[in-house]
Amino acid sequence: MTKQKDLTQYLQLLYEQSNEIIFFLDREGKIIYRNGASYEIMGDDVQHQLDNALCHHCEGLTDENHLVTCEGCYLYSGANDKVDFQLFMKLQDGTVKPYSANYQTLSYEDDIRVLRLNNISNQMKTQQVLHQKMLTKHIMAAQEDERKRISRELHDSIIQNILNILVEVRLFKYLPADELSEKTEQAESLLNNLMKSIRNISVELRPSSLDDLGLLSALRSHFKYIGKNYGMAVLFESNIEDTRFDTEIETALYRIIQESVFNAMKYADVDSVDVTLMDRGEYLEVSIEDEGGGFDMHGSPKGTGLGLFGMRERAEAIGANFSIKSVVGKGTKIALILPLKKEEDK
Amino acid sequence: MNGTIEQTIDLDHIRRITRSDCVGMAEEIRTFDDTVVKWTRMTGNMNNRYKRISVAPGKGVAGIVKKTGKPWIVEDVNKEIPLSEKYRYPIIINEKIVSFIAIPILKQGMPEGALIIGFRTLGRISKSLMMDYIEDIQPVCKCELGGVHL
Repeated sequence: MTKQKDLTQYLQLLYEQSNEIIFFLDREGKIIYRNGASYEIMGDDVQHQLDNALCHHCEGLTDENHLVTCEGCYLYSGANDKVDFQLFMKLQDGTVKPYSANYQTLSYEDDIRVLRLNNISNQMKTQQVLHQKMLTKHIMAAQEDERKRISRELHDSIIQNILNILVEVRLFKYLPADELSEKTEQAESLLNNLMKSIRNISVELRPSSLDDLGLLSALRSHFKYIGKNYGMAVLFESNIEDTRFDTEIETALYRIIQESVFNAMKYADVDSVDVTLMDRGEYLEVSIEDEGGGFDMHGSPKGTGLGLFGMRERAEAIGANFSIKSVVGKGTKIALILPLKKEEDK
Repeated sequence: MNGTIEQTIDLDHIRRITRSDCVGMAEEIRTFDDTVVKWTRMTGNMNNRYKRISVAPGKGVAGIVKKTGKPWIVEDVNKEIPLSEKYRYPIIINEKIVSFIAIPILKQGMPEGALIIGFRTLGRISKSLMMDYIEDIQPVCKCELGGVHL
């Protein structure tokens, strides 16, 4: 008998003193009892007013597709208890705070449910900081890789070639007149190749046509390069002509299209890929489509996976809507919609 | 487009001798203002994209063996060529080659072109037998092959 009494005392203490916010609810979500901790969310005055007082303070829950939504609300989920989910509540001071929530039916006959909320602000903050650090690490690693690549390219292609040319040129002063002509022609040809190599490196880094002539011109050149170097034809259709957009937008679109086409080349095993870039007045519409092997969208990525992630980030950074759809054996389509600011709005 | 190498190499014969999946020949094509390396002929190819490939001299599989003048054998592409570098060798991507032997074709001792003998499954060639392969196909090629007289 004593043990039971002690337990009740403990439970009472838990209820009154706990940091955990406890709401006892009925089937309709009406608050029957609430503990002291719940005053963080609502004061005294509210309890007697609205029937669904809880709904009034709840901003929503987190599901796989939304950070905050009322879809699948725990209050109206019927017989299913929602255990272990994230919930956002509006506090007395107006701020919104995330909680780790637990909704359980304690008794069906007596119609008693309980919602328990635990503070996870620290958890979220820690996770956010961790995520940020990982992202920074990835970015720095990518930067270093790029630097390494350029450094190696400069050494292997450029230095090597220049050394060859130097060797030839050094001998000029010792050559008889009839040999000199042929040797200078050779040197000329080598220098020409060298110039092409350097130009390629420069264009690969950032095509000057993108800054000087615009998106259409840069894309056309790039697609020609893809056809020549990889044998894959890019069928390009666009109505933007010489229209210029903000540098940020032109760069993002160029990079996204470049990456998409490259992916098709690497993985799709197709002879051609279709790219369209259309100005629809209110928005820009971009699509990169192939009828290649496709890939399992829910499986693990073929490469590092950073390519697709990067594309999405770039798209979101300029306010564009990015979507990718792929069916194994049928093909892949990447689409982008970018709302355009009208002249009057600027 | 004709290169400078006599069109006398029987690629099918090489494919049979080496029991490979595809065999290709690359040459340097010189136009009046440009020089590029192209795969001029191919047998056992899966598609015709090789015809459009045209890389700068010194680049690609053909470019590498032409530059070094020595044969290059890769037993497992996925192990020996990092994924980030694979794009430098379009012929490997297009023809789904997983292991290959690339041999420079010499003319008067100077590398003029290249042969690639490609396999689409693993375990069919080994580095230690490379010289044997080259010696096997040398009679078929009416020209010198790099690596034979090392």
